[in-house]
Amino acid sequence: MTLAEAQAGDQEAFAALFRDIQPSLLRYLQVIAGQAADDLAGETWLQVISGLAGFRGDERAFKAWLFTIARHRTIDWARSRARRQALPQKLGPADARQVMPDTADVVLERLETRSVLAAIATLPRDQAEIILLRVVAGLDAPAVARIVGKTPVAVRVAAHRGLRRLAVVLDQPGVTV
Amino acid sequence: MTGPDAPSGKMPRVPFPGRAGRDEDDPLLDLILDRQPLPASAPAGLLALADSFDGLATPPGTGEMPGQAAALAAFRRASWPASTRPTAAGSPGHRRRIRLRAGRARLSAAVAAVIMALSGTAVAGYAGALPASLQSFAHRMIGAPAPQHAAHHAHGAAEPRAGHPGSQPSPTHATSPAHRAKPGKKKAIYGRGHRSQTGKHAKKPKRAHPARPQPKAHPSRTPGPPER
Repeated sequence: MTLAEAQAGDQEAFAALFRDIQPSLLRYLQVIAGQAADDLAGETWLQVISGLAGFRGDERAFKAWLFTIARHRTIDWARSRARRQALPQKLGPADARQVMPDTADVVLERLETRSVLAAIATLPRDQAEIILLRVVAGLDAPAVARIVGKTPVAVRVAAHRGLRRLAVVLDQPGVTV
Repeated sequence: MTGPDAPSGKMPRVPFPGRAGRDEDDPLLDLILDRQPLPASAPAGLLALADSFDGLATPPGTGEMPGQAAALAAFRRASWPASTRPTAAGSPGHRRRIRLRAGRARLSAAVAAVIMALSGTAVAGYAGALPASLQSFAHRMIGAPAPQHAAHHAHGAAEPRAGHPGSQPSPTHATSPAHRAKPGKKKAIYGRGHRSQTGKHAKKPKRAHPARPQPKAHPSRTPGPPER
């Protein structure tokens, strides 16, 4: 009902939606966009607000819609940045690694939220993004498949590969959870 | 030369070298992706992975809720567009103008409705289509035909009888005391509806239906003794 109330203009309902989704949105953007996460989250919410009245669907669909917008904003941001800078830069884990601690350091420190995100950022981009959408955003495989433009089976395979890699990292000696 | 390969049925359950043991943990990985708890018998690496993911579902830490004020401000702006913002369009003067405009429109509609009803009633009165009491009222006020007169007028107009071709007036019309005016002398008191039927028809009183009761003229309209 929160979504319907927010669509009707209820400010408290919208604030509740924001508080529910913003952390996972930021965690997702921190991995795939690094330092631009805050700005991209703000742009995402602006676009969501402008289209909120016309949105049709439940809260799960709303979350999938919001993360789709966030992903598109990130892609646009990466393209514009690539145009501004003559040298093309990779988006995603490579970018996130610039602001995240080194993987070797990550596995040595306590795996808190930021450390887990940093570990995820070491994965290939598609695997990292799919794991974030599945685990952090809480979306199911078909929704993630629609967002990233893959089949649900491909999403499952990529997620499994990424999880196995992460398990290997976390299983290294000296790593404590 | 070797013979043909062994049929697949003779080589059951030979795993691919690179995938040994991989399929077994697929359900566990699905549990992790669905944020479901793993069984205690799961490999240590997967248990550690699931535990680390638990932190991702914790409430936001400090610094994880930036932009809330900006988002709420944008939401307020979107929910209250400029045309309905109280500082602009919702001012008392604007609301008064809107109320005045709405009141004027309602008044105009009411006046138009009254005019249409009155003119419709007047037309019906001249056509003699009103109920007797209303027809009588119309007879007094605007000179519409009297009720009995109107009934015969309407009847005659609707069913022209043999022997009375066209729209000849009813005999009762001519014999009515109210219509026994001096031939050729118009009586302004009865208005237009009556004026059109005085004179010519009053000269030729006929009693085509003598059995019909003679309508009484309106007492207040009873003319004086006929002039001789």
